[in-house]
Amino acid sequence: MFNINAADENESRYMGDIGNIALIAVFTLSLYTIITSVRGINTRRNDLVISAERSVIATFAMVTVSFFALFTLLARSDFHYQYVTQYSNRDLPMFYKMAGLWAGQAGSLLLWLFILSGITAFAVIQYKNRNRELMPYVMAVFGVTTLFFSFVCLFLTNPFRELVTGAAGGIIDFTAQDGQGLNPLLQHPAMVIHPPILFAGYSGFLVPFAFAIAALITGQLDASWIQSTRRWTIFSWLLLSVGILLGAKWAYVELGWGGYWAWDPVENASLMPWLTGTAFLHSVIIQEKRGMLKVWNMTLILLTFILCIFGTFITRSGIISSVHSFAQSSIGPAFSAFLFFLLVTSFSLLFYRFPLLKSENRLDSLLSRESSFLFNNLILLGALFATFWGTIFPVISEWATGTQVTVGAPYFNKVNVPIGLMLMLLTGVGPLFAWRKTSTYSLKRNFLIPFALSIIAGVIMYILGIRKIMPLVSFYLCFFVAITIVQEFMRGTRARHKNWSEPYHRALVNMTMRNTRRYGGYIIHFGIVLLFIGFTGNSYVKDVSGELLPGESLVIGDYEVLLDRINHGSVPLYDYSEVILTVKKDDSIVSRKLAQRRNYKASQQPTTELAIHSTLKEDLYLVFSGMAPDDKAVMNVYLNPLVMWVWIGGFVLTIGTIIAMVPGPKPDRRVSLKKRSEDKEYAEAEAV
Amino acid sequence: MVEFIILLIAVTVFWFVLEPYYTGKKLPDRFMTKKQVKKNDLTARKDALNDNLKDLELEFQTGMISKDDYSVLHDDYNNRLAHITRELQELDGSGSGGGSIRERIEADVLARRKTEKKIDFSESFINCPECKTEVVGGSNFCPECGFKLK
Repeated sequence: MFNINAADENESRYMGDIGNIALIAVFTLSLYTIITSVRGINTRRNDLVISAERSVIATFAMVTVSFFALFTLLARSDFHYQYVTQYSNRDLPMFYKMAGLWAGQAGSLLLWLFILSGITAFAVIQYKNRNRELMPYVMAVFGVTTLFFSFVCLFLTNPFRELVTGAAGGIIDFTAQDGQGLNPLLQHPAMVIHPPILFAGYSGFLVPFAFAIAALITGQLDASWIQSTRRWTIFSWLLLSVGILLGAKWAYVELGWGGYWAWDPVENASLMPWLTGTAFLHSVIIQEKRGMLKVWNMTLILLTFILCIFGTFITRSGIISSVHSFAQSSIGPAFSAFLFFLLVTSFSLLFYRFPLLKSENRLDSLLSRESSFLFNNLILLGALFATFWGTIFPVISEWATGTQVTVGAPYFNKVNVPIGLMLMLLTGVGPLFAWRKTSTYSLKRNFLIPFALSIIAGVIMYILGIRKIMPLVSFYLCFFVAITIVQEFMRGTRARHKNWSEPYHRALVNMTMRNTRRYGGYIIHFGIVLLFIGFTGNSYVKDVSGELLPGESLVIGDYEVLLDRINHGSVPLYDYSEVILTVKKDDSIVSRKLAQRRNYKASQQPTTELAIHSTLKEDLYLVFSGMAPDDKAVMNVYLNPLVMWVWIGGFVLTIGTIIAMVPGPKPDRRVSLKKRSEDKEYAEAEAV
Repeated sequence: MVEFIILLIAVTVFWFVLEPYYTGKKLPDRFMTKKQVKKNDLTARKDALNDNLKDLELEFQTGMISKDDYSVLHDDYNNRLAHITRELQELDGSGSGGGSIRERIEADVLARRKTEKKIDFSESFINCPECKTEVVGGSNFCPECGFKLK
């Protein structure tokens, strides 16, 4: 259906032209947005600003046209275009043809631009009346960002480039018979949604960044820009979190090395803005409550967006080779220049406005919520620095010595595990401290039960055989934090039950929904606890390898993995060998699994389709690595404890963030009516 | 056909973006006066302080903070709120007589409390007749034992 014939060919060519013309329009409109916004600011003319607003919306419309033009080319398998030939083939299912949109560098940058322009258009519609004084500046920042991305898409890595070949008469264009196919590693459902969600997270941080720049330029450094962008920041943080976890899930089920996080430079690239974004979400509360840390908050939000761009630069420039750097490209210098521009302009503005960002209060006590948030920030920044240094060290070493020194997982684990544990401790104690200072009474009341119970739990864990120091500390802290969270929910529910005479279940729901930010935050913290439980399981990973004939088995932990059968076959996309396995525990069959080794025909790339028997306690991870010369199946089997809790933790974190984004309740109607009648009484009294 | 579609899209985009220059209608205001900007800022700060007070009340009710901590913070937030309310009224030109009656009364109460050297919160608390726990004045029930106070 989608293979082009001669009649369709001309129409398909037009699609490429339409895509290119739309990109030119995007570039022009972005330039127009910047010029018109700036002129609008200088002349204070409404027509200029409204025209700039419409230009932002039209930019999104034009990117959409360009994006769908590329999709049509992929759907029609038009191998007249380089991008389609490189990332698709005729037999590829439509679902993965869509994923081809962001499989390569040109397509993924177009996707970035598509999401970015969508978010900017939405933000303009949302804020045009509410933040009128800042919006022209915000739109100018939006314009600069879309201008950069449209420049890259149009001139440096254009997805609508045609295939050309040298001939006697000069260079001529031609159409390939078939494409090279989508990288088999990317043919996974998580990979179809992981990039759009991650890019949406990156793009979302543009909104608070643009508002921060606008606040710096205008000198309106009050609370309103923070209040306006609060939900955008939380939303972007959620998307970034989900994007990172989906990437981890993909790595776990697709790459077949037994884990989900390898401290790959690209993984680190998405983690870094997450760390600064998390720090910002915490420290901005101090600014809202106490008018402190204004410079710090400004620095964090500027840094977060710059790190998002840095993440894309690392992923797509090929500067540091990794599993994600599928394409080496020429966009490096452009991204470096843009990063430099962002860094210099934003931090110069921050320096210029330094006198206006004075703190309204001072830190009263070390035992206070402010101090714990500040420590939490410092620790997150410590993690950022360690991750950043480990990520760019190979580049620095290559630049300085000519040899690239790779920094592996042991470095990151050694540095970041203690940092993570400190963070977990603060996750537990921070919310129990009061603002300003915490009295001995509060300390006793808030810490006694969690401390006592977690000590008991720690002793039990030690008796049960958890003797390694780091996992023991980690489980202890997880338990401690979980108890503090449960304690908070119990106290709140009990107070509401008694004061409002509500049944416990209703008191719990009403309390949460009336204080969404606080209790949503606690649920997020609980999700983080579950994630840490999953991470700690990594300390107890076991693995075994062997070459098996049908009827032979491998033993790992309580499990026996029996090889039943080996099959070989072929489907249109790939040739395959597969093993049928029976998983037994205590001599009874618990599962039957199928693992494959595929060889994709178009790309001639082999992949491993592994099998996982997953329980809350552990994952049995079965990898069929290929055939040995004597017709034996080469098997690698891993026993990964507690992995399921990582995904459950991610789910809980998502629910918590959604709750935290729900607006607080409107004033009670009964209260409003009472207030109105009181007003009437006052008015009557005054009249008398 | 395709050329026609491209032309149509181009004309639509041009019209959409440039229409504000030629429309005869009065355009909505896209700029704010300094007074409006200031008012926006104060309103945002007032909202944040009200949120803080709500949080503080919850923390006290759930026993997270002691009476002393509660009093100090309550005092601090109220003072700041009074200051902002006064500034907002001055902006509205109601500092000495304008504005709604309720706002004026609230402002007067807050202003009086602000001028006091030290605000005594002892009257804001009562002892529960059942368990003797200190409870915020005006509570319907004791948060500790649930005794009905009103």
